[in-house]
Amino acid sequence: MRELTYWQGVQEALREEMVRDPRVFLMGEDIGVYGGAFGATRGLFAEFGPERVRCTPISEATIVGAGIGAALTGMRPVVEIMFMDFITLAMDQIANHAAKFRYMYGEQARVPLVIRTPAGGGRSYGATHSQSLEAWFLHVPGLKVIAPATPADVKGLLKSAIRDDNPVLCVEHKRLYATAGPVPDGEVTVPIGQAMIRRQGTDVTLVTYSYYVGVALQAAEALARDGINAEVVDLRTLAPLDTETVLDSVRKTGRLICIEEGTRTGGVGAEVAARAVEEAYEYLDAPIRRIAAPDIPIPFSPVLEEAALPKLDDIVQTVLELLQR
Amino acid sequence: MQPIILPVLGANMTHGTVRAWFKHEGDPVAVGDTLFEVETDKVNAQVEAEVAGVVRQIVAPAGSQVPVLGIVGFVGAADEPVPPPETWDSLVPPAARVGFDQVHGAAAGAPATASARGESHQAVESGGSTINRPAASPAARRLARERGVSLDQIRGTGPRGEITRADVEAAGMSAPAARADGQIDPGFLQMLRKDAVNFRALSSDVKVHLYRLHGAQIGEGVCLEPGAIIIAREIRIGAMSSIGADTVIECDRLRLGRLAALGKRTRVHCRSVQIGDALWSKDDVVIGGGGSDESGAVLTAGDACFFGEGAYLNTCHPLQLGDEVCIGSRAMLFTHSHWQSVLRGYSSLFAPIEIGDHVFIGNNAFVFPGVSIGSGSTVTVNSFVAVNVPPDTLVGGVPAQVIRHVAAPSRGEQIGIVRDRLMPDLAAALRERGRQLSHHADGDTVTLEFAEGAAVQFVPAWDSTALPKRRRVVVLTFADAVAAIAPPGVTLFDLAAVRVFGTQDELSDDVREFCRRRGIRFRPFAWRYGVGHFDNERFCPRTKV
Amino acid sequence: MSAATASSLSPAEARRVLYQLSLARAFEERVLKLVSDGSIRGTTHPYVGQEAVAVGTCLALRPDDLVISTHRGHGHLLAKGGDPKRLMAELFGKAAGYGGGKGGTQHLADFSIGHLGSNGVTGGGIPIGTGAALSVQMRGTGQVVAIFFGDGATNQGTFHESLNLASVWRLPAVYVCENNLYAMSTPFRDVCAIEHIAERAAAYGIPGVQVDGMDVMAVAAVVSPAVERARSGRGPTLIECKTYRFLGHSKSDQRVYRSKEEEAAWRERDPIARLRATLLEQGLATAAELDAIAREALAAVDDAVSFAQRSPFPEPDALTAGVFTDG
Repeated sequence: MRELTYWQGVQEALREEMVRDPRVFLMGEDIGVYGGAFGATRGLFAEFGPERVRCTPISEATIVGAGIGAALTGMRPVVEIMFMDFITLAMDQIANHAAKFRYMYGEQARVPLVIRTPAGGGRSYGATHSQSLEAWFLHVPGLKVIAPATPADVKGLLKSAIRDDNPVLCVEHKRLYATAGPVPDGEVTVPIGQAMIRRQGTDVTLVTYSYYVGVALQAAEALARDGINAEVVDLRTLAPLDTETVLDSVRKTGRLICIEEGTRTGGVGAEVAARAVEEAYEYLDAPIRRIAAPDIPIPFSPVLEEAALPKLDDIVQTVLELLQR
Repeated sequence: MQPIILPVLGANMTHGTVRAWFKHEGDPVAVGDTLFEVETDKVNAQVEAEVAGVVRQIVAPAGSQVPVLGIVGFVGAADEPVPPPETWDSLVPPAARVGFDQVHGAAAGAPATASARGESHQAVESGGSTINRPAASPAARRLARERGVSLDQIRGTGPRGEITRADVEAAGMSAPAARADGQIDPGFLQMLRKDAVNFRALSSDVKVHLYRLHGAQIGEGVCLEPGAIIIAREIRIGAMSSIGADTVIECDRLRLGRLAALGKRTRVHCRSVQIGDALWSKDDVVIGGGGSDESGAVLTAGDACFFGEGAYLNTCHPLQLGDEVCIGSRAMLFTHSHWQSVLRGYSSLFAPIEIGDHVFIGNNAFVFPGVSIGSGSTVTVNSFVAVNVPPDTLVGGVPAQVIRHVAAPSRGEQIGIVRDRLMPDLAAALRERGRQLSHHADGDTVTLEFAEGAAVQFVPAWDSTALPKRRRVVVLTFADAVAAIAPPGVTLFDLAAVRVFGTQDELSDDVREFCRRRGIRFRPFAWRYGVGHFDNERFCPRTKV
Repeated sequence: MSAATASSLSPAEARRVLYQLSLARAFEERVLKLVSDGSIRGTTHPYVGQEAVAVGTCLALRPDDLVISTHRGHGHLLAKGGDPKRLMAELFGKAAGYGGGKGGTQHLADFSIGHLGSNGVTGGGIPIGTGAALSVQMRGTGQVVAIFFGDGATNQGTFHESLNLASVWRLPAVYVCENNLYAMSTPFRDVCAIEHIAERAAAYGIPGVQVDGMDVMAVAAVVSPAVERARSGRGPTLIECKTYRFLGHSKSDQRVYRSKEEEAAWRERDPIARLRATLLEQGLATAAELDAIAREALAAVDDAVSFAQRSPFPEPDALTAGVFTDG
């Protein structure tokens, strides 16, 4: 077991998979000598060279499209979209092509493409460099979406994603890159589609992912001092969603709060909440609550941005309200 | 006076090292002058002055590592005093701090702003109910339905008077137990059967509370360990008993005396279990087996019995044990036998087993249906007993045969045993427990004197006037007196009646435990095996769930 | 007609080329009827008139080379060697179709013959073909990727991004633009400031070539060196085939945006008629043989239709199957 940062987890996953399988290669903007805008590909260019670590022009649609073409013909590309905000430029390729080829072409096609993208706000980067758009991709059948919260999970999930024969979108929160955590040694993959209970509890279920897992755990600590025992479920994969783990938890606690950084309307929490009502209605002891950003672009000014993004206190207050304390 | 701070030079930056200063303390500074050079793991940068003045103090000289937004120096007027260090935290502009905290994820410390936090705090609108039924959460409805409880009679404590799951649970609990005779509410019993999994997971306190509220007679200090459940129409459990983890007891009637200790994963499935005080039953004991639904599936046992690991007590016909009966581990008592077909030359036998007092059934021994074993007898390990055993007899073998009659020693012989064997061994045992003592024998009387002024003495006959003059005396004797009154500071162990009287403390507990391990079990029983000994005022420790 | 190249073909090869043109034509004309009678649902984008581009291009490719196609893709698929029966079954929505009935006319692929898929989004396939060329280059297989697209697609960002990327990385791709002068109803000249798409190649430092897209041998003659260039590692080429679709953009298109005169003028240059004439002139086939070829093409289409009609529809459990590789 070693202590690694999240970006090291990304880097190690890429490196190990590139060593393991010569078909794996990287494409993206500034991923070469520069090491990627967030340092995730540091050192890989030096080790693998320009053939396998390809710095591209600023052409998001074609970065993804070329990735699809390479994936269709036997390669296993991992492409980076520098900010998730820019994934909009590649939406056609992702939604209309990568996600659909297998189905439309009668299972002739395999698209083992991984798209990695840094997402999230809190860095005063402004509205077009701070978004969390993962909810959109739940609406695209044929695409898997992962959102790891820890160094061990980003390494393990990214390895699984690269080995998966389906297109996978990996959403990495910018504020996680510098965080550190234990990572097991050796060849360890984390299965896609499996949530993890980060903290056992009995009074309320907090369902979240990525950056907010840490915040939810802190909220649970704070609540524990008030004698409230919160269960924290880290989804880890957003599509396919591990509904069973969430439902088991809701059946146990009777109370569900969905937490995410993206905007509230049509967010991931909306989907989780709908499933909970559909399949665990008789176990709900309180209305389901969602904690998310308001439906606004993310503002720049630090005081406004801080107010826009969900906080620890929001989680604690919502739990207390649900439990009427 | 302005603090010179280490600026944020990169998104992931947490620290920087000051490489060199270009100004000294006392040097004048104009806006834009280069003050110092800083190195981070990504970049080297030079930092310029933002205000004019004089460098009043350099806080972080070259070579210092400084956190981002940390203060490295001060610029101000030549005669301005530099703020004291304890005020420095408040000097960094608040907005910069907020951004910093955002960047570095200091969650709880970030000052909450008053501005809009988004819609997550909007109260949920209730929406008036047009259907005339009480407002209850879905979970409350389900629970009420399962328990056969009407929502109309439950007061809701949720928002706007909504009935919550807890309200339904409490309603079940607040029904007064009109009788405390051990007869369980049928509704509660039904719930136990249906919802066993969840009930088992409740804490001991809650389980005991619920049982009591629904009619069970359960003494003080009783523990129902995690996963344990009793499904019975009548439940009476004496004080300071414990039912081991994952035990499942299903019967019509369960009566356990005080100080019972049931091990983990005990399985009881029969009609009636009635056991006296101080039962010590180890893990994985089974009371039940074939025929246990029949009317004769009854187990009765006296006080201070012992069931070893995996002991199998088959109750098809009544199984009756006296006091102080030990069923060794994995020993089996069968009240039915019927595998081989009666049309193939075999017979079947369904008959009760009756065992007297002070009987030892060795490990792995097997007792056939219909056998009765007299008091004081011993069945050696691995034996097969198919015929009756007279009292005070040692039998053994497959099939068991009499090995010898165990004659009770005379009183004189008993005295000799105590004087010559028990007391020296007791002395050694007490020394082992760290007590310093000296050992004197004077005829049949043996005295152990302790450094701290106590004494343990064996006298063949009780004489309250001839006790050692000590503040604390423990006496072992053959008192033969019915009402022996022990003077203050004296513990009297009557070896004849096997009873203990008087003051009891750690010393007398050690003596008592010593005797217990030689098969001498003094009454009244005061400890529960596996936990330790305690007196009547202390309760068994609560199990943390 | 580029006589030089036509005569470099053997009679059998030349007749084969005519057969391919005829098959594509007959197929499309039949599909239009089947849409009219409801056997084929949705719409179709007839390739009628443009056959020479697909056939000429594929003539210059090796069997193991790859192609990317467009929404108007039946011709590309047949020219690359696709099976008319499976294609027709797909159009009928039957389980035996190329996509199991799930793709339809705009989403066809036959990976076994190197056809990596046609695409319902204008310009959507261009980056994908570019990626396939990248893959081919990285794996050193010596293949070439021919990427078809129309004049309208050359205004999509993906066209420019792809040519840029392919030129920088010298990818083994041939970009074949079928300029039929109209993107749906919009004349090319109204949406592009330059007259010849081939000129756009200069922006990417690659060769741009124009060719008469109604002359199958001319197309082949121009694609061949581009293919060679790509295969030898010298990078991509942009080929603009001036062509014309005789019919509307799709079935329902009444073509109000084109003049009858214009249509008639292009009809005069029907690639099939021209190749027939050339073959007769050069003694590569007799009139009887030419008619036989036409009948053979029709028969193949008849076979395809009856195959499609006989084929069963997909089972209900096919609905949710095949979204992911793992179930």
